[in-house]
Amino acid sequence: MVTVKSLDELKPKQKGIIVKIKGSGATHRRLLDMGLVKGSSIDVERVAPLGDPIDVRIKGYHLSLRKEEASNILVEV
Amino acid sequence: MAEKTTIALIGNPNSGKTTIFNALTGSRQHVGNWPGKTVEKKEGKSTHKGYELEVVDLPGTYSLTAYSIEELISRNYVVNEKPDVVVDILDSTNLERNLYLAIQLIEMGANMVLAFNMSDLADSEGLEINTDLISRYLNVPIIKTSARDGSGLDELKDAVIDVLESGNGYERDEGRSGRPTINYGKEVEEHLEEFTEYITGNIEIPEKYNPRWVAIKLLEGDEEIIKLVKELDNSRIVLKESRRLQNHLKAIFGEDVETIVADARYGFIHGIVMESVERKRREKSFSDHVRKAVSKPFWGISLAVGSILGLAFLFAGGLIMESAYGFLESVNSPEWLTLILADTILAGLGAITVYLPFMVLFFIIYAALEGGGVIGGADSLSDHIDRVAMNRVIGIPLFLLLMLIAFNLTFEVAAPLSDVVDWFISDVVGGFVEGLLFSVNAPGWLLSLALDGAVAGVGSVLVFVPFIFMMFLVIAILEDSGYMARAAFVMDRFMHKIGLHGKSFIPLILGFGCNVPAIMATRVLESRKDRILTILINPFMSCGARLPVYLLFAAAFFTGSISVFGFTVSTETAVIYSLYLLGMGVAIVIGFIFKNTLFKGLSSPFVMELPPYRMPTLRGVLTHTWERGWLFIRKAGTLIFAVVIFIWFLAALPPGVEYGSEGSYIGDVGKFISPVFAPLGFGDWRSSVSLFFGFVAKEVVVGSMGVLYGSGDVETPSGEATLVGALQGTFTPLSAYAFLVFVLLYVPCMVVVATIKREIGWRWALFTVVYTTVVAWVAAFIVYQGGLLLGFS
Ligand SMILES: Nc1nc2c(ncn2[C@@H]2O[C@H](COP(=O)(O)OP(=O)(O)OP(=O)(O)O)[C@@H](O)[C@H]2O)c(=O)[nH]1
Ligand SMILES: [Mg+2]
Repeated sequence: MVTVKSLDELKPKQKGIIVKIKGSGATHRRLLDMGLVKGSSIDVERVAPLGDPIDVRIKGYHLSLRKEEASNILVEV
Repeated sequence: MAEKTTIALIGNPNSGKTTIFNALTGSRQHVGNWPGKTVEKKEGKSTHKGYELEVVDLPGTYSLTAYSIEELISRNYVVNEKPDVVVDILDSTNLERNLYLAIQLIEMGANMVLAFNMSDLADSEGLEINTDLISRYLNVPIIKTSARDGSGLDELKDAVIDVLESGNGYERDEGRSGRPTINYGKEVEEHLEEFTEYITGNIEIPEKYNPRWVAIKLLEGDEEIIKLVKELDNSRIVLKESRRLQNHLKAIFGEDVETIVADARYGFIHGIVMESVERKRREKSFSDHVRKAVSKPFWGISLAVGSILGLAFLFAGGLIMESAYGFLESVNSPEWLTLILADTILAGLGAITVYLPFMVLFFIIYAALEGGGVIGGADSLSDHIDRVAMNRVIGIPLFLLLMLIAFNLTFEVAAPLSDVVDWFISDVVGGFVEGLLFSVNAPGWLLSLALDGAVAGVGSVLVFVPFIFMMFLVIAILEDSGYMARAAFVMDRFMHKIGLHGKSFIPLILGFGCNVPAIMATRVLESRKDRILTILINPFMSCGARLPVYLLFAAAFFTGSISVFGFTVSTETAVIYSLYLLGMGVAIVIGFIFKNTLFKGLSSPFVMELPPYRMPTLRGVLTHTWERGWLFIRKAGTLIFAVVIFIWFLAALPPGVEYGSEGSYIGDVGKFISPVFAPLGFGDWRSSVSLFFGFVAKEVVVGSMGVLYGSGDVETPSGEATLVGALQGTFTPLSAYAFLVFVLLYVPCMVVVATIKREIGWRWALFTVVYTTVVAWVAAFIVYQGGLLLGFS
């Protein structure tokens, strides 16, 4: 079954397909530029020892972002 | 005929631009395995086929719409300066994201070549990239390179010359080049075409810009392009039309234009990559990786020999050293040779190799866990390492342990080397100079100038150069391995809590080497507030130049050992650690205070690439260390020499006064400032003078003490021992510690102040001078008076 969640709700080792990046402005654009576009698959690799940020794999590389930013990323699980 | 042409190297952060730049131009710019190493534009020269090429290395950027100032430098350079050829350097192991910038350069219409760098890594990952196919799709030459071993660079230069001669970008009079344009879909394309015509019909955009590109950029809302257009006549109606279109497209697609554009670009790239890159997926176990690594003779043998040595030192370190001393004594080796062979080389090897058996044990446990299926396989060695390095439980303890080991090694290896230098300067150089001057019957004042001034002053600084080298070595390894970005990742939460940013962590660590490059490194921070804050607290990170002061005082006052959590550590080490920790603590507290007063407001987001780990190259690490370290030596021979001689003259004048007495000029200066320091426990006029001149460079504190305290007895060689004796007569352990706290915290050296001025303006520079000194005074006051109250002395 397909459900839409925000990226910060995913647990390590879960993966999803990006459906939308919410928001606007510089950070929004940065996420797009880094390859977080609709249809890309994204894996949550791990959470930092202190619980934030998270390390995700997108387009074959590792990207780290805070849960706050991740909450703007909607994925299909 | 030689023609002068500019070649710009652009590309995503960490794709190898600087490595290629160095290979092309023979420069030695620093490379590091973390995104954002280069923050300035650098130029160099190269010649090929009769052309004189002016090569420009740029900071990395992910997109032509810049996000932070160092990215803006790159963006503005390729957009506005229009270099003759743009070489986009891509990381072949990460093509999709790297092609995003390439596509934008193509849209812009640059004359360009693509270098698919790191092809060695792509090969070993099992990636098969059909560059011919991609090159045909994009109509741009593509060269595979591997900057580390230099392969492909000649072909790259050939391709650059080809493009230079024929051109492959956009020229207005020739119309479109044969480049593909990304199709943004029928609806968008129609509007784009109309809008492009609208633009060319209404405003005069400069020749060098491709109108379609300007149209896209305006619709994307690129601020730099909006700024550019604003300066033209008639801009208002064009900007208005652009806003209208943005809203119109948004209404149709339910998405803003930047999203539509980014989706289309990545879609286009995805299509290309799907067709031309094949991945032979090979999941490798950790033991496979290790087996492969140790099957290379160099690594295999080093590891085996190292581990055996390490085991030997672990269990019989004392015995080994004793027998070495015994042997050297039996062959009547002179003291200096023993110092070099036994204390430096043998003990140094021991200090390093004792960690190897633990490492091997760790490997075995990990491999066993993996073999037993407790932990699954991973793609790359990097993933294996990250499992441990960023593990929820052991990530942070491991980080702290690594730091501790790094510092420990620095001291253990450097201490005997420093003794060697001390011996060399005081016995060999000092003895030689003294002998020479005596033999020519030089007057007493000249003797004093040479020995009290030059040798004692400069020598007392040079003695500590080995420590500074080791410090830089450790930092270079950290930078080159890829661990820095991990440290930023692991620490972000904590840094965020105290109002800073995970990325602030990298400049703070670099500060342990030297605050100047550290302050430059803050350019990776996107928000100006974060940047200023990180710069303001950076001077509290104790730089290499302050280390000599600590070492000198520790040797004089804090010998012996104490017990911490059941471990016995030398008091000397404990005191030095405590200062480093104090600096970090003060930085945290001050950062927290500033964040809640001067820089209220939200902190900026954290979005950072984590590069794969790489084995640091010996050459890279050594050049890095050597260059930074050499600066210190050169500084000792120039600036510090000059200051020290200046102080000697002030101490010897007016004529007839006893050298270095209170009646000399320097005595006057000292007595004038010393009351300020009296409440801190070091009201002695000579230490006041040294602090005063310490503004020039912090090593001067030691240098000028060498000049001032070593006075009177020209006969004895002016080694560290004399200085230590003199200090013991002036300071108590408590006042010595208060003094060190002051040296740690007070005004950074003038080069740092100048750097702060250049980066964020003279107001902040002035502010730093004042506030750090106030903080230092208060902290030293608390230490001294508090210590007195508690009954220390
Ligand atoms: N294996 C391999 N490593 C490379 C190659 N080119 C560069 N590196 C390594 O990649 C890392 C980054 O290299 P840099 O030259 O500093 O990269 P940069 O593009 O200048 O990075 P920024 O200045 O941060 O934008 C360093 O550790 C280099 O040693 C290559 O072709 N093969
Ligand atoms: Mg670089």
